[in-house]
Amino acid sequence: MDRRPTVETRPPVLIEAIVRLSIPACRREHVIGDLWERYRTPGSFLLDAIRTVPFIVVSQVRRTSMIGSVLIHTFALVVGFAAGAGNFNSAIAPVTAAVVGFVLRDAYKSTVSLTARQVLRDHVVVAGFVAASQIVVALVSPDLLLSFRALVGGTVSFGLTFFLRLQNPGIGSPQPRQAFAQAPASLDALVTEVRMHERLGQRAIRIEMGAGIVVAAFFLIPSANATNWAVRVGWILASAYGLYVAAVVSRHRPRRMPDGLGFTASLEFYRATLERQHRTIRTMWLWYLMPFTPAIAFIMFGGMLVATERGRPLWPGVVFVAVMAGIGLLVHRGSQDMARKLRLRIDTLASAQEQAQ
Amino acid sequence: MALPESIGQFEHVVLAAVLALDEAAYGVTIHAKVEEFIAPRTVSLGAVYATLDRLEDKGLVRSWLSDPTPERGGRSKRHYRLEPHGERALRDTTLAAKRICDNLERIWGEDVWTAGPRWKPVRQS
Repeated sequence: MDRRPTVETRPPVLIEAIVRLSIPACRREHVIGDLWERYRTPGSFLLDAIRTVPFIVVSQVRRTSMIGSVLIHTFALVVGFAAGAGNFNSAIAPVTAAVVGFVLRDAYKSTVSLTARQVLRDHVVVAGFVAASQIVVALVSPDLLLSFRALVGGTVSFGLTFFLRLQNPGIGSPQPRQAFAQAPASLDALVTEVRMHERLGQRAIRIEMGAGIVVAAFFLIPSANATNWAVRVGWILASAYGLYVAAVVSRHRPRRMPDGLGFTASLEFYRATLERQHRTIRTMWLWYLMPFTPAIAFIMFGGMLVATERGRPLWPGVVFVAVMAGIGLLVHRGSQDMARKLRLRIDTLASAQEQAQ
Repeated sequence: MALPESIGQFEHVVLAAVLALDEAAYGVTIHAKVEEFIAPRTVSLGAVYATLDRLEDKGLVRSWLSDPTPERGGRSKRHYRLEPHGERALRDTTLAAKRICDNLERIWGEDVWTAGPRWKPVRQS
C-alpha cells in the first residue's frame, strides 16, 4: 500500500468558500484563479487572501459609489429617520447601517440594477442592514431604538432612494471609461443600446415629472401654514418650481428611433439624440438649479424675519442655505460627470460613423 | 492640445510591467514583474489589482477574461493590455524620470547605478 504523504494542490474547500464570498461578484472568477495559482499551503492561501481582498473591496467601492450619490443618500435617510424619530441620536445607527448597506450592496452585486424589481431587491438587502443595526442598538442602548414614527420616516426615505436609483441606474454601477469608448460592434448591438437608452430615458422623465407634481402639491402645505408673507411666497415659488420642472422635462423626452434604419443612419440618429441630451444635462445648473434659488431666498428671508421678531438665533437659516447649496453643488457635479461620459460616447459614435462611411 | 493623463509612481511601474509582459500580462505575472522592478521592496497582489482598476478607469489599460484553465481550478485569467493613451503616458513619465536620472548622475557620478550598498550620500552631515 502506498503510504507516501499526499500533497494538497488546492486550498481547503471551506477556506476557499469563505474567501470567494468575501470577494465582490464581478472580481471573483479571476481573483480566486490567481490565488489558486499562487497556492502553497492553506496558511499562505489565507494570508494571501487577507492581503488581497481588502484592496479589491475598496477598489470596487471606489468604482461603484460616487461621493455625491453617497451624500445624497445620506441626506435623504437622515431627513426621513431623524424627522420621524424627532431626535438625531436615534437616527445615527440606522442611517450609518443603510449607507454602508448601499455601498456594500453596490460593490458586491453581480449585475446593474435596471428594473424596479432589482432596485427593490437592493433596498431589501439594505433594510436587512438597518434591522441588524437595530438588534445591536437593542443590546447596547435600547433607549435609542427607532420608534414607529421613525420607521415610517425611514420608509419614506427608502421610497425616495428607490425612485432616485430607478431614475439613475448609473448610481451604484461601475462605469469604466472602456464601456463608453467601445463602438457598437453590429447593427443589432447598436439598436439594443438605443432601445435601452430610450426605455431608461422615458422612465427617468416619467419619474422626474411625477416628482415635480408631488413636490408642487407637497409644498402647498407649508405655504398654507406660513408664519409671514415672505415664507408663504417662498413655498408658493417652490411649488411652482415643481410644476416648472415637470413641464420642462416633459419637453425633453427622447424621440423613438424609427424601425428598419441601417447602421450609419441609426448611428446618426442616436448621436443626434445624445447631443441633445448632452446639451440638456450640461446646462442643468441653469434650467434646473437656478430657478429654485428665489424660493430658497424668500424662505430664508422669511425665516430670518421670524427669528428676529422672536429673538431666536439666525444660524439655523444659514445651515439650511448651506445644506441646499451643498445639494445643488452635488447635483451639478453629478450632471457634469454625466455630460463628460455622454461626450465620450458621442465622440466614439462619431468615429464609428466615419469608419462606416 | 490636451495634457496627457498624469500617472503616479506605482502606476508607472504597473504600466511598465504590463507592457513588458505583453500577451502574458495578468494578475499573478504582473505582480511578479512589479516586484522584480521594485526589488528589494515587496507589494501585495491586492495593491496591483487596485492600481490596474484605476488605470482601466483612466482608459490607460484594457482588460478581458480568457478561457478557464485547469491549473487555476477552472477559473479564467483577466488579461491586461496597454491602450495607446497608456503607452503615451508611460513614455512621458519615463522621459521625465530619465531627465531626473541624467541630472542626478551629474551630481552623483556615473557609478551611482552600479555602486550598490557601497554608495555614500554626497551631502554627509
